[in-house]
Amino acid sequence: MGLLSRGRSLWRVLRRRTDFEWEMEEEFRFHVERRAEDLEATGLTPLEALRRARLEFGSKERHKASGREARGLRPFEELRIEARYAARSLGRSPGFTVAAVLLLALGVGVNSAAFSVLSANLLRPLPFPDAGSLVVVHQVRTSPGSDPVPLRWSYPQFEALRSELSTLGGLAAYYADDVNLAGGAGGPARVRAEMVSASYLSLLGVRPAPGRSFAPPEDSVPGAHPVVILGHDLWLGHFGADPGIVGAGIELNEVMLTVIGVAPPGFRGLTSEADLWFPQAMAPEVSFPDQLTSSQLFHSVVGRLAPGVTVEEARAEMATVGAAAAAGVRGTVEPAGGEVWSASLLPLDEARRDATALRAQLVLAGAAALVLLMALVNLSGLLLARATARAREAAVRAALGAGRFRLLRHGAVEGGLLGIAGGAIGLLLALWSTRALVALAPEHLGGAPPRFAMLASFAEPSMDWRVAGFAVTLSLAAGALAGVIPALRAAPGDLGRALRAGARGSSLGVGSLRRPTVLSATAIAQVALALVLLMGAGLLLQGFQRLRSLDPGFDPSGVVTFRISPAYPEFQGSAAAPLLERVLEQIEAVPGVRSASVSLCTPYTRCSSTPLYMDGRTGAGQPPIVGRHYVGPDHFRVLGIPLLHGRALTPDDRAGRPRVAVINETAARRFWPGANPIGERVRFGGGGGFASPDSLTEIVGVVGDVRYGFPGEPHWPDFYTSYLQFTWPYTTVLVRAAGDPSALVPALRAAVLEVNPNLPIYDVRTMRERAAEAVAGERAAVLALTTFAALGLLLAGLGVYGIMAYTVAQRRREIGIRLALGATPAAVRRFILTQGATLTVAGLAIGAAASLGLARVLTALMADVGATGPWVAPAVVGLLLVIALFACYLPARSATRVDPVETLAVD
Amino acid sequence: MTDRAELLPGTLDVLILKTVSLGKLHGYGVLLRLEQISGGALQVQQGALYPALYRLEHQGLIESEWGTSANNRRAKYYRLTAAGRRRLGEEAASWNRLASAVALVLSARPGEV
Repeated sequence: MGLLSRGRSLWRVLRRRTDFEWEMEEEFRFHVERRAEDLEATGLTPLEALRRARLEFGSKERHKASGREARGLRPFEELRIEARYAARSLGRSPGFTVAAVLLLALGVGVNSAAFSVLSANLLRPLPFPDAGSLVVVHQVRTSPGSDPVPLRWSYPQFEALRSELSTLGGLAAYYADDVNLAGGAGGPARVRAEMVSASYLSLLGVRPAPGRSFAPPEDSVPGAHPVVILGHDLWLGHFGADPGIVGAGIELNEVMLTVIGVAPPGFRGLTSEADLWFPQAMAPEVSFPDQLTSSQLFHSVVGRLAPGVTVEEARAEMATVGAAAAAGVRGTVEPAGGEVWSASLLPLDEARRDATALRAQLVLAGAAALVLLMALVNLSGLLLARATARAREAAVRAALGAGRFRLLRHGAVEGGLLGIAGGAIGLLLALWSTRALVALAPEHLGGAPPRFAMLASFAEPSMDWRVAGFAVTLSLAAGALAGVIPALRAAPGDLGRALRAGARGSSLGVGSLRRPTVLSATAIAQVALALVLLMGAGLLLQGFQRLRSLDPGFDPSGVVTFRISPAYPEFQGSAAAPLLERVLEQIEAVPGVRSASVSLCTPYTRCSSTPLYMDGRTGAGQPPIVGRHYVGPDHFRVLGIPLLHGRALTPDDRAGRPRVAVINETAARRFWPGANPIGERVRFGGGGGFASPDSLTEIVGVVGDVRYGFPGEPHWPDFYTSYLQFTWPYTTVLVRAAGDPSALVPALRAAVLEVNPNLPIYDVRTMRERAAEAVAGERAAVLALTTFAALGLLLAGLGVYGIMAYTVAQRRREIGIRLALGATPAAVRRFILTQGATLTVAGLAIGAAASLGLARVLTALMADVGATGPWVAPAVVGLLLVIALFACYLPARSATRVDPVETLAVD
Repeated sequence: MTDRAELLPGTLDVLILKTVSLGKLHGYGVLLRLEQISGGALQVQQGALYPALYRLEHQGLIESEWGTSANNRRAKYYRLTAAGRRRLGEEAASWNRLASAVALVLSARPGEV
């Protein structure tokens, strides 16, 4: 009771400090005046009465002070005084203050950036109301000898789930794909659509404005309700924020749909890429005709736990009821031998996170922490040097009665002030660097979630209250800590000694090897930390170089790529072949084009695979999965892939002719080791309903391996077939240009529109750009760590310089004596350099030991680091040694300029 | 002129509470009222009054508000809170107990023990 009212009262006073002071003034004045009146009544003159009353009352200031104390303001008052004093003394040494603030800003800024990345991934909740009860439901396939694989659902399975499950209070299926949009201000455009159940938006708590969400009947009968909801950005950008958009008609893949609403700003669906949404019931018309009947596992399913149901209960029901419902409508996707199918669920919050990205983020955070440590050590050294220089002042304070606590508090307040200033700058630094980090590699730092769920990570780093709070707390704590440590050191006994003039000997500055001081410890620590950071950066850099130098197997220069997707229902299966042929003809007619081809996937993006059946080789177990490429006849020429045996594909390999395929080296070696694969026959399975399993394909050629996966992954066996024989209507067009490939893009776009005016080209990128993207994550990590290492090197150099300079200053007497006794300047220089070198070597030794541990940690965390090459360690050690010695050189030189007469005379 | 009594530390608080309980008062009024009621025996040190008032307000036993005095000047008036009333009762009871106990001891005559 007492504490609560005391707290409330204190809070009230703190909030209105000036009012409080003014009120006291008023109250006291009233008191004095009333007393004066009473005194007047006893016969004194007004002037006399006032004087007497004032005298009686006593000092107003003293009353005010006791008043403040009575209201609990004492600690704040004392803090205010301390802060003012600290600010004044900091102002007297501006050089030191600026250096200290910058050090803190660096440490806080870098760590706030790392924290913002981690916080976005781990701490920030999903942007949906009551997101804790949202779950992602998936199937699980366990093959003997491998890990369980999560998979999505077919639509019939989803419908079975919806009717059977009771622990989930709402289920919605969604699937995302690109569609051609016509209508609105811009020309035809390629947009991302999510095909969703009617309950999708309400499940996520999203309300369209203007307009409305889908109603349940709109998802029931296929094709009956052609409605669509636009995304906010699309409405702004493509439709000019038309206020009459609700009720307007747009065309998706040449199907007319009515706009019924616009989603709120910031919502891009669970894939975080959606530009618009339409009901699953419209998918057969707009997108795939068999979207709702196929047994292929397209659909992601999200649900909400029924009130009072726990995740475990729901999971248990999924494993039994859910799995059974799914099995009942499995259709053509039969479990092969030994496979076990089940079903499970994950909270949405977990499903969106990516473990590998988390590891990269932790490495980043670790490096940032190291930088902070270095900055703090550096700052501590600076403060220590300053404290020792002001030892007399501290001794006087102690003599006047300041206890240990007061001295510590003074140190903490000084450090805290530095921390606040440093933190403010550091926050700005964090803002800027977070944006830079995200721009470099959004996937790796924002996290790329498991692809099976078609789920975004919702982890884009941003500056929110969590990050700001972290920055403030860290800067205050770091500053206070850095300030307290030197104060801890100064035991009262030392102060007595310090009061006497001319403290001497090797206990000054960095001391000697036999009696190292705290200052020398900070120098050693900085060198060690810098070494660790540099080693880490060196390892990553080496790994990155290795990645980049891997031969891609083709020539990426001069090639530009873009994608096209003819409207599916019209151009399905082999009907797309003539269209693609015309597109290729038009493109090859564009001046500046050397050759052109199509392919479903480009290098660095593995997107297509099929099971392979070889005649005469039945054998037990699963058929091998091979990479599959649906290419044009000029494909190998466009990409510069060397033909090793046999022949390439030709325009004659078309529908109606015998089916042929060209394979890569890995395939030849894997399936026909030591024999000639040319003339062998294979069949392909699966794949979209138009690669019929009973058409034999003959191998006619072998080409070199090409990197289709992630750099560093082993090559897959790849099978190239002519797009005229096996056709996908949507494909990538690859164009080799005579000159600069990006200059051709407008002409290429026009050429495609000539063939079909509703056919936009999208995802336009040169091959070089794709190559750079493939390693973007690695590059970002390397860049970040190298920056940290460079910072660490700078800090270590500055730290060593500062400490050595201070040592020289402290030991002027000793140097003067040496010079007077006949030491040459060179000897003095050597003396100082030796001191510095000893420190550096000690630091290097400790750092080297720590680096061994680091190498192990890094290899565990980032798979592609690998073994160290021989040059990393010596190069790093050498670099540090050179920098440290250079940092010692200047103080050594100034040591030789000490005038012995001057220093000896001072005493 | 009656004799002045020494004010024991700590009793000022309970005396203020009592004075204020008789009706809201400003600081100077508390001084006057105390002198009045005690017949001049109790005179509060000027330096002790306001810290005591602020302390009591801090503890939530009295509350203040600004008002106008008899001659139209702004003054801060203090009033007892419910908690203050409770505390006053407790303190008064314990004081009375103490006082009677002391009086009892002091009035013991030789031979009665």
